[in-house]
Amino acid sequence: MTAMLEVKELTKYFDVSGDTLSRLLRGKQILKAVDHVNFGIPEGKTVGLVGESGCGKSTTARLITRLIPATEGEVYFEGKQLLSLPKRENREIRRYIQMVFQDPYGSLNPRMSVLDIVGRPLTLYFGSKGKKRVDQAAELLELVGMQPDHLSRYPHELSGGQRQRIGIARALATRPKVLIADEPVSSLDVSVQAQVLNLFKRLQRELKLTMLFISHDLSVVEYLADTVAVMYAGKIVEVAPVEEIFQSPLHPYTQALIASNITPLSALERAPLRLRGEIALPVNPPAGCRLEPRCPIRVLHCSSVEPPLEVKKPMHRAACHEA
Amino acid sequence: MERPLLEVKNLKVQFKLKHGTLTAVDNLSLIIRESETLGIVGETGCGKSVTGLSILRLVPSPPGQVAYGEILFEGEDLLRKSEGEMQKIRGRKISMIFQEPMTSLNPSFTVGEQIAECYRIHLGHSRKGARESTENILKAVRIPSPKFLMACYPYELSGGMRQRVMIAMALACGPKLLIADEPTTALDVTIQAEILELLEELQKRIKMAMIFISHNLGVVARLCNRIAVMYAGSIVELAETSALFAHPLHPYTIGLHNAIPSRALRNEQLRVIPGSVCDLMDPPSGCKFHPRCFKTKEICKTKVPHLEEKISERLAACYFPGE
Repeated sequence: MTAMLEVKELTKYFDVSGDTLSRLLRGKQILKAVDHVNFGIPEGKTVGLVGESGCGKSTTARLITRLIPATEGEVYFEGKQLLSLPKRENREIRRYIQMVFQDPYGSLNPRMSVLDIVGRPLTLYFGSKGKKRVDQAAELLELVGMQPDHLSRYPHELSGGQRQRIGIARALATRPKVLIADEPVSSLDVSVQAQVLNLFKRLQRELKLTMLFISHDLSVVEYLADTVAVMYAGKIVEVAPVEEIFQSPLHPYTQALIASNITPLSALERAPLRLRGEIALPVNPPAGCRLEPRCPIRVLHCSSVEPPLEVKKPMHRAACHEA
Repeated sequence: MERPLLEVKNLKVQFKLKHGTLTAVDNLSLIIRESETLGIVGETGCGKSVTGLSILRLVPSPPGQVAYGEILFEGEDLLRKSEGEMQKIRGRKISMIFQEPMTSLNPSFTVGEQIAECYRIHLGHSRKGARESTENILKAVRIPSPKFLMACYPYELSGGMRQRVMIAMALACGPKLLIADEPTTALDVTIQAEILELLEELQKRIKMAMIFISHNLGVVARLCNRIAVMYAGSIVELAETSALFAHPLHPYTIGLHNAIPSRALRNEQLRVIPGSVCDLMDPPSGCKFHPRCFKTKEICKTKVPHLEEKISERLAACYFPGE
């Protein structure tokens, strides 16, 4: 099966050395935010990317959409390498890969009406004007479950859930093939979150969208994703189909994440704690496995040899010496 | 029956704003027994935080004011106490921890100084004695090297560490009641699991009661003996944790429950609560939930349902409780 979107050895290093003095004192500090990440999304499928804050999931999204330049690596969309495309072609292709952001407050321009927000991409990509633009925008609003009379509103007049719907409508305006959703429901209350999740479910079904769905909430990913990739400190540590990964997680980090995901159902059975200590940012990370300092099943060579992401079972890859 | 530790009677908290009066908490009554944990859950704006703040008389005034009600702590009405008397209760007998520890810690003092202050002011310890006590309490919240940490400023700590410091400070004087307002919301799930375990263990050890405020049903289910569900300023249901999740009575609780995504529901749409939270400036007549409820009848639109016992030990504010 060929992938609609394929990420190969995608890497982003940030220099966080600070000013000259700190550089002299402490040496060069490199934050390996995304470190040789590989995954693919088949057409019409959804990959859920999970991990805790600072693990590099948002950076991955930004690299794929070229909002920030990559240090290394390639991103293929329908077989075409995106990251080396010249500006003009990039603009063309960007139409097919759109993004929905986490913060529905920060990602909509407060000075633009809903019509302008949703209509902008229609004008830019399809040259829609006047009544045609209004009609198309109204159609998009309907698609995301809102009324056409919202077109004249401004973001501050909308609730969080409605704003997120507008963000989705804007992303869908260019008729994308791939949707990259970066924590799109994290700032919403449970009941509103459920409404937006239903919307995503419907888009998956009706528009056959290929999706990269980023979230720290396992329940959400469990509900939407076909395949789950788990990230820790800039590395993907485990990839498997959703049923498989939740039923028999191999990597100790995935196991800990699942055990820490408290739902009313799981709350009464108390899973033992698996990880201790703090999440460290991968600044000048040591040679071995990045989970090693917190890992309950570490062995001697974990601190010196980095475990590769390898096939452990059919369709199931994990990066752990002991898994 | 023995006297409860805290009894809130018919509390009504209002905010007088430019364009009207907002009723944040409306006719709320609850009791907390010695060393039990009561959870308060609800969505943004339901009044759960304001309830917590008003117990300690921390609602900013103006614009906020307690319009009506009594808050009896160990039999005495906190609303009638002078500001000086309240000072002696806050942090000594009732403590509070907040969602974002960085905004509750003073950035210009070291952690050690801030915690030691509690001992010196409330318990009259000497500088040296306070320092020793601080070290002990930091050990109790499982901070690995307390001496080192005492010399740190809050900005030097991670989110999980800061929350531990907040907990240490809150527990320093051995309060009878701890009000925890979304203490783990800003934390990653694996860190959250650690903090919850810590709170549980400490609570058992020092026998204090706790009010745990959260929007996360799972977290509340994990920690609490009883749970109060709030909607638009009022408690709509109150029950033992296991009973509440096994057989929710109020339609809002049922709705919240159904809105939680999971793998089992992958092939269906989530059953959502239609509409959005009502305007607290101009709430609907009768039951405030009636415009969104799936079993609204005439009486719901006209007469406010009171929180009363429906089945043994189970309170709900609804005329037609149950599935």
